[in-house]
Amino acid sequence: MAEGVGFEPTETQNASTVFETGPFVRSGTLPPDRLAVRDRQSHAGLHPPLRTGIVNFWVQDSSKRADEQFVADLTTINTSSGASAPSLASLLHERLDPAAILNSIVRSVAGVIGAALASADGRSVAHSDHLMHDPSRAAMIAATMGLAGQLIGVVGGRQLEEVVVRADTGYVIVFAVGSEGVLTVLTRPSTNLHHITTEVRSRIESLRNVVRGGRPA
Amino acid sequence: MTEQHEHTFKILVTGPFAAGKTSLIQAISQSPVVTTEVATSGEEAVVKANTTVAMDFGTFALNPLADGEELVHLLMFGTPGQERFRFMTDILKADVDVVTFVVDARAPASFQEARGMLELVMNDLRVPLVIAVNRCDDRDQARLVAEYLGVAADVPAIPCQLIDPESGREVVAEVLVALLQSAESAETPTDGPTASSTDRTLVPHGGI
Repeated sequence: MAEGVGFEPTETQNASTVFETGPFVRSGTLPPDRLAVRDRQSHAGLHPPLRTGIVNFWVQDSSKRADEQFVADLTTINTSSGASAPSLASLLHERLDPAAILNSIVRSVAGVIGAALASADGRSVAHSDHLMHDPSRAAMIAATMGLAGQLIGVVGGRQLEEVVVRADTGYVIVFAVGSEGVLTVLTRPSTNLHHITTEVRSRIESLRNVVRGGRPA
Repeated sequence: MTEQHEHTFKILVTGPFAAGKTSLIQAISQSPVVTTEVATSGEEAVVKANTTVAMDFGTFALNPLADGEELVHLLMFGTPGQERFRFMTDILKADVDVVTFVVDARAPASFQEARGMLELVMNDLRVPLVIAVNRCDDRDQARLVAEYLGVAADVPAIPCQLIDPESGREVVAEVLVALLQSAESAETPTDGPTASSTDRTLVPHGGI
């Protein structure tokens, strides 16, 4: 049996219509021109064009889907859920769960490899999946932000937009989330800083509610 | 020892959460205090509304009263109190001349933590220590608190009410005495690092 032709025996001549694998009418068959190039190359001369076309159309289609899935896996490499189409439930979940919001930032903003949310006084609130839990990180970020806020005042600024720290491993960008939270984003070394800050800023509002919700009445 | 000499000393102000460290610096400082206060979160918010996240900074200058006396500058660095900010204490304690440890006499629940904290701060320092016992009016009670913290009997324990600036001055006075004593003991030539505080630059601060 030849590879890539499904479960049906390869017929060299007079292709038969097989139940559930091929169309019964002529209008349901594809013209040979549209056949898979890859398959025609590897099986050249083995199959009659029509037969190959029907079977391989299906094969190629499924392999294409597999490719798409693979690409999807690559782009969502940092997420735990393998679901490709977000359901209403998962959208709702993202809105309420800070870790899900952080994961979605990592997933959707190019160059971002990690995100963490802390209270302005240095308690860890949530972090994206592949970051490790580290209470001192939250405290250091809060201290950095506190000091930067003072520095801004000394140099005549009024509003602290963000703190950017550049390391050999990439940037550490800290954003204020209202007055009660701080969001930290870790990036790859070579990355478009402006793009990242713009993209992340547009998602901060959703985190603001989370931080506020964490406070006692 | 002629003309005007200027000496700058670095004072570390540390202690547990909500002990009164920021209040002490605000009470004493003659320059606008650089604070890094933010809203307190979680169960700590019940204790107080704001908390220090990086450091407080204030200055105090003792002007010479007579010719030949020395101008003494104190640079006060306050730390955050919570365990998670311990790294700030480690940064700020470098090159310090006196440690002022603030503890709240009416928060006995914090004594245990304070004791461990004090031990950690002092274990690699060879500098004088002053205990400021906040919300306390009585010397004997202050002594008792200091004993609970495990400090030696010759370490001064000053009762104070740090919401009152006057009370803060008593702490400064004790810090100056401690500096004087350590300078005197360093006169006898040993490897004491006390008087080496010549060219420490002031951290810039200004209108906020």
